[in-house]
Amino acid sequence: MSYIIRLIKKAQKGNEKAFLKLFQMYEADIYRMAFVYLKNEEEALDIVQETAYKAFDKIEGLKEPAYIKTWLIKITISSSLNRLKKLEKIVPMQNEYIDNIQFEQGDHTVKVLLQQILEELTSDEKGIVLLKYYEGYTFQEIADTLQIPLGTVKSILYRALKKLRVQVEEADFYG
Amino acid sequence: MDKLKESVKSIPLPQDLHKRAKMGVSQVKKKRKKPWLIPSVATVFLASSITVAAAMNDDVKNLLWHISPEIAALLEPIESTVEYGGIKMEIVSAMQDEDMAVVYVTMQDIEGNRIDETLDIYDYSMSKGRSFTVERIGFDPTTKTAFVRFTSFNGSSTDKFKLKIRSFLSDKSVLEDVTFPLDLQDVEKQQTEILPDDTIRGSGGKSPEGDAYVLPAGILNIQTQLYDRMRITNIGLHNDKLYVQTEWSANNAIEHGEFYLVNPAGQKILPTVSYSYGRDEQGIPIYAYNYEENVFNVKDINLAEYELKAKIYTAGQYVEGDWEASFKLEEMRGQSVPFAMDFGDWVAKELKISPLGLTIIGEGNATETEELTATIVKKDGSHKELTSLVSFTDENQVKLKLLSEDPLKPEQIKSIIINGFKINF
Repeated sequence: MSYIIRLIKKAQKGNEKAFLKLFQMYEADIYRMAFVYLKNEEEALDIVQETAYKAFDKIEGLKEPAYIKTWLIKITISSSLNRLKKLEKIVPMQNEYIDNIQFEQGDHTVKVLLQQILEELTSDEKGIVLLKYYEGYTFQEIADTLQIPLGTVKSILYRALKKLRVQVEEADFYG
Repeated sequence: MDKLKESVKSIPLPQDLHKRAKMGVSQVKKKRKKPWLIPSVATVFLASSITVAAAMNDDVKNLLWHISPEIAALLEPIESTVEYGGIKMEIVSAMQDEDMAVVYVTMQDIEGNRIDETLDIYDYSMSKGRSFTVERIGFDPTTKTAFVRFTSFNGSSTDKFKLKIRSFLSDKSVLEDVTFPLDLQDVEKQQTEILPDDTIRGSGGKSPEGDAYVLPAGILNIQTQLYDRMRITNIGLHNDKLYVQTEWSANNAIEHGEFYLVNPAGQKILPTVSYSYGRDEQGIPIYAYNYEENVFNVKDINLAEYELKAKIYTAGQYVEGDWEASFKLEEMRGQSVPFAMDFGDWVAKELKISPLGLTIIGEGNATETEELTATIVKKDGSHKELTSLVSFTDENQVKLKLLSEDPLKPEQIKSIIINGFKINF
């Protein structure tokens, strides 16, 4: 972490290279989260670019370097939601994205589950599923990140998992 | 739940992922590089028909059409072109009335990219006039041609006019909120030395001691990532003052910085005094521009709470040359009407109208900031406001001119309303 903090300090002084090294550690996660919301490679790349722009522009104001990842994720989610709103006003979202994705592995269940996440979940549900199972956040951390009540986090996640028809261990859900 | 994670992780990453992150960062850099001046395309004013000459070259014509089709249709150019160092200056048109002369010029780089939308004519002269202005009013990136307007005020009417450009700047930008990798709480006390008067090229602010004190030549090399032509060479405290010594590689005072201290609450401390001076290779003060010393009063200030920042003005290109042209000025004769109006401290006696604007002549004590507006009422019923005021007032003789952005045609004017007072024309 001290290496990351050093990079953040340098980035806060305008060091572009330090910022890019830092950003590179998280850009895959940022892209995939954006993709889940926007279901389109080019749109997700736009969000990566926008997140890098906003983060480098505002990193001077980041008070807690330990929360860099959470901060970047928050920027990613809010940028994705804003973009989604704009796109929905212009054209209906495309549905052919999934067939165009070249999966690295031919795991059918993985592909089907991804399709469900992309297609069947609402934006609220996507955010909570991503933070819980992709980023490994606790319920409290999700509530803090998205600034919604803890109970709401749990009920939205429960609804999302029901849609995905994923079996939930009680310990996993209420832990 | 590993399946969920696995499914999201199965989204393949595009090849240009990191490139897009870099693009985001470069957007911030561009934003921080704000241009010095925004081209003002809308402020063109011209006469209705201008000097005679051969056909306008296509580049100039296209540029003028781009800037203002109305003006382009009216213009007839002077074929006066001079080329120096691969840069062409062309006198497009020139005109004068009894108060002022206006010259339209294009500058085109036929060999490189030294002319751009930030072009700033730095050193120039005109053969007639008491005061001058120059402004860039358009730029065509395709032909790399800038369109510039020179104005000369209060020169005597003349047939022959000479314009000379000796240098210009381009690729200009302003870097905002530039930070430096240094901690002000680590700055130590140092002795200062007197800067000989004959080494100071410029200074700002007031030194309480009278003499100019600076730090001895330093060997620090503190640089910002955003700009590599300047470095902090020394920084120290003396008598409750913080001295910041910077070295500039350009050595021409064109690129410069405004330094300040700022705390997290946004409170700024500006230098009480700053000196632009020079040093030779041994660090001995000389008459040059390559050093700048900023002195801040930091009495009762906790430096640990402050950060040194700067706003840096850069010019990527400083081009010297010799572009000189002589040409004829077409006289635009004004039409005079009787006019009497009491403005309090002065009395108006005469009103003149020329294609360049409206001139009010009188006697008394008028100021340059006189509140004066005029509305031109045309015969077709349309109205036109003139608000841009130039004063040629000399002792008790008042002469105020309201400039027109586009040509005024006396034959089309029905009446003029000045500060609510109507004059039939």
